[in-house]
Amino acid sequence: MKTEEIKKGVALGMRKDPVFIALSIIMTFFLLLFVVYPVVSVLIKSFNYQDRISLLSYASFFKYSYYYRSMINTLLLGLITTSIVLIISFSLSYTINKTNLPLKGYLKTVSLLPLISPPFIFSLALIIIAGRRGLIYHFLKLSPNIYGWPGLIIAQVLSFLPLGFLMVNNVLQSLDPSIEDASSDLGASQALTLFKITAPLSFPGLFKAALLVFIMALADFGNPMLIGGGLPIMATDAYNLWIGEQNVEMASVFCILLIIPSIIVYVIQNYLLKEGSYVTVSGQMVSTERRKIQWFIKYPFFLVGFLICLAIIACFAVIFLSSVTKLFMINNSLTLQHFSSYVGWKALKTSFIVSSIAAVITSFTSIIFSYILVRKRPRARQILEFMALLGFAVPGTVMGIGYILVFNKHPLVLTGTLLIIIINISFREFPVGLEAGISKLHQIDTSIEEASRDLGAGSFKTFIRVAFPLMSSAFAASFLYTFMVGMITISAVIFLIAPGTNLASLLILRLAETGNIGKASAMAVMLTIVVFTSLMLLKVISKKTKVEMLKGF
Amino acid sequence: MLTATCVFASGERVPVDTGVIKYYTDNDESELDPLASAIVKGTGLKLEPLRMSSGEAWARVEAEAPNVGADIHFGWPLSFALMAKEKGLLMPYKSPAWKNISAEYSDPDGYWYGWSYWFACIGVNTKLLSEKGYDMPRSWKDLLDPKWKGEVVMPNPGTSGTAFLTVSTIMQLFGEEEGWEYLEKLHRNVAQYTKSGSAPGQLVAQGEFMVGITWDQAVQKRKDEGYPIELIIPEEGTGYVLDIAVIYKNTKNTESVKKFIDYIGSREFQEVVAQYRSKVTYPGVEALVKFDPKLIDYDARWAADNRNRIMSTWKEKFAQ
Repeated sequence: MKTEEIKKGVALGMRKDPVFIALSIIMTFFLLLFVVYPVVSVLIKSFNYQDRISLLSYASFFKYSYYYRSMINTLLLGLITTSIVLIISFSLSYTINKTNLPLKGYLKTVSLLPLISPPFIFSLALIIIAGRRGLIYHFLKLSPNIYGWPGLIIAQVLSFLPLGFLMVNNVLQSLDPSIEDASSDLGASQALTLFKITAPLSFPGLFKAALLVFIMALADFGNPMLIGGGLPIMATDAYNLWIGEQNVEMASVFCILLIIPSIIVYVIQNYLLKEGSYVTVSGQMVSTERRKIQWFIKYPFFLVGFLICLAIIACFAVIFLSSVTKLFMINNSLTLQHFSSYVGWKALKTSFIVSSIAAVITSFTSIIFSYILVRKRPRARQILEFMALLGFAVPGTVMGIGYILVFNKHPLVLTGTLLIIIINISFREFPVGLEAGISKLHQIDTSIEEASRDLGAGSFKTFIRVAFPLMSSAFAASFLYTFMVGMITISAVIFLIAPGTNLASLLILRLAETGNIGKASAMAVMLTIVVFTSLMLLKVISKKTKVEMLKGF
Repeated sequence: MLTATCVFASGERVPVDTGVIKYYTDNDESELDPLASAIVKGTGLKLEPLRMSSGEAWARVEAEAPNVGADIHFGWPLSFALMAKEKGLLMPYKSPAWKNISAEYSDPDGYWYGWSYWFACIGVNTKLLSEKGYDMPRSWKDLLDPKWKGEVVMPNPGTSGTAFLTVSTIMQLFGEEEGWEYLEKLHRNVAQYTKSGSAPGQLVAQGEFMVGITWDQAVQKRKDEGYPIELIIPEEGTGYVLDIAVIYKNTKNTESVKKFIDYIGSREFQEVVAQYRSKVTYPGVEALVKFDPKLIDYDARWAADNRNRIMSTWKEKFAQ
C-alpha cells in the first residue's frame, strides 16, 4: 500500500478525537474573534461615510493628492529599501559563503545585531549623527538634511537588513557549489558564473526575501514617525488621521489600502512559490574545496558588507554614548541621569511581562494548532491557515485600529487592560510559530506516532508524549520570536496602551519624538540589554537541555 | 473568593474604590515624575499616569467614550475640558478644598478645576542667530520674514494643545481671515510640524532649528539648563491655557478621585507645581514667571466651539 494512503487512513482515524475537535473549535473561534473580526471591522468602517454605506472615503482618497501621494511614497520607499537590502544581503552572504576573507564571521554577527533592538533605533542614531547639529555638523561643518527620504531609506535598510540577510544567506548556503565549479571547469569566467549560475539559481530565494522585506517596509511605523520629517507615509498617516484629526473613516481607508499589497505578497509567497519551487539541488551538500574567488569579484562584495557593518556599529555606539552623556556633542560630561526614570523602569517591566506571557501563549498554541493542521487534516485547513496568517500579514497599524474598533464596546471591553496588548501580540506573531511547527512536522515521520498509538496510547497522549518533544525546536523558535518582537513592537500596541500599561518601546518613541535624545537612548540601551540577556539565557538553557533552540541566531 | 461569591449572589456588581487613579496628562517628562510623587505623598493614592499630547488625548477620549480609560484627566487645556463636558463625559464634584482659589479658575458646577496656566511663546537659539547675524524676532509677524525659511519648527494643532492654542490665539488676535493669511505665510517658513508641543523647545535648544513655537516652560527649562535659547513673548500678546483637572463620569474610584481633586487645590501641592510651571492659580504662590507675559483675553469657549471648523480648514490648507 502506498504510504500516502496509510497516512490518510491514520489521519482519518484520528480525526474523531474529541480533545482535538474541541481544541480546533476553540482555536477557530479565537482566530475569528481576534484576527478576522478586527480586520473586517476596519473594512466596514472604510465604507462608512456619515453613518451611511458609501465609497466617498475611497473617492476622496484618490481625489486629493495629500492622500494618494502617501500611497505613492510608501510603495516607492518599499521598493527602494527592498532593492538596497537585497543588494547588501547578497553581498554579505556571498562574502560569508563563498570567500575566505578574514572578518567574515564578525560580519555575520554584526549584521544580525539589529534584531535585538527597537526597529527605530537607527532613526534615533541618524538624528544624532546627521541631524542638523549632529556629529557631521560638528566635525565637517556640513548640515545635511537627514529628515525625509535619505534618513528614512537608510534607517529602513539598517532595520530590515537582518531579515533579508538571514533569508538570502539560507539560499546561498543551500546552493550546491559543484554547479558553480562545473561552470568554471567548462571555461566560464567567475564573473560569468556569478551572473549566469549563482544569481539565477538564487533568484527564487531572493524573490521571497524581497517580498518579505517589502511588506515589512510598508508596515514600518517607527522610522517614518521619527525621521520622516512629515513625509506622507501610509502607516503613520493612518495613525495621524485617527489621532490628530479623528477621521476614523479615512484612517480605515488607509488601512485597507495598506493591507492589499501585504495580502497579495503573502498569497504569492505561500501559494505560488511553495508549489513551483525552483530548487535544483537536493540531498546532501557536496563538500568541495572552496575555490579562490578573483579579487574584483570578492572585494566589492566584501566592501559593501564591511561598510554596512561599520554603519551598524557606529549607530549602536552613538546611542550608547548619548545615553551616558548629558547631551552628546554639546555637553559631553558623563552621567547616569538618563537611566534614572521611574516611568522608564516601570514600562520596561511591563514590556517584559507582556512579551513573556505572549511568548508562552504563542508557543504552546502554535505547536498544538500546527499538529492539528498537519496530522488531523481538518477540512478547512487552507482557510484556517490563511486566517492565522492574516494576523501576521496585516500591518500593525491596521490591527491596532481594528482592536480599538472591536474591543472598546460591550460586550467585549478590553481596552485599557494588559490582556488586550498580550492578545494582540500573541495573535500577530502566532503564525510564525505555526509555520515553524508545520514545517517541523513535515520532517517528522508519522511512524513514531503510529507506534505509540499501536501500543495503546490515545491520540492526545501521543501528541503530548511523542510529538511535542520532537517539536521542541519549533516551540523554542516561536517562543523566542514572539518574545523579541513583543519587546520592540510599536505599530499596533501604540493604540492599545493605557495608564499603567505603557510599554518600553513606545516610551522610547515618545521620548525621541519630544527631542529627549539622551533619555530615549538610555531606554533603548536598557531594552537592548534585556533582550540580549534573555537570548543568552535561553541559549544556555537550550544547551543544558540539549534542545535545539537558537538555530540561526 | 467569598466577596466574589457575594457579588455574584446579589447579582449586582458594587463598584469598589481601588485607590489606584489612572490619569491622562499633558505633563512632559520632566514634570510628570515630581508632580505624581507629590500627589502620592499628599493623598496616599496610587497613580498610573499616561502622557499624551492634548489633541491626541481628545481623539482617544472621544473614541473611548463612554468608557474612558482613565479616572481623571490632569493637565489638559480648558477648551478640551469644555468639549468633554458638552459630551457628558465628566462627573461634577464641588470640592471644599478649593475655597481659597479664585472662583474664576474652576467651573461653578464643579466640572473642571484649573490648577496652573501656561502660554504660547517663541523660542530662539541665540547661538545660531548670532552666527548668522540675525536679530531676534519680536512679534508673531516677525516670523513671516523669508529669512526664517526652513528654520521654524512648530507643533501640529491636530495633536498638540500648544499648537491649537497658537492657532486660535492668531485667530483671536488678527481675526479669522487675516489669521489664515498669517498661517499660510508662516507655513512657507515652517520646516517641521511636530506631534508634541514641547518638542520645538528641545529641538531649538539643541540647535536643530533657529526658531520654535512652543510653550513657556519648554523654553525656560532648557534655558535654565544652560542651552543657548531665549524665550520671546510676541509684542502682539499671547494666548494662555488654563490647565485643568477633570473627573470622568465612568470612574469607579468615586472617593479617591475626590481626594485627588481636593489635594491639587491645596497650597502644599500648588507650591510644588510652582517649581515647574510659570503661573499657578493659588493666590500668593509665586511660580517661575515673574515678568508680565502680556496675556491676551484668550477665549477658551470660542476655541472649544470652533475647534472642528478650524481643524478642517487647517487640514485643507496644510495637510501635506
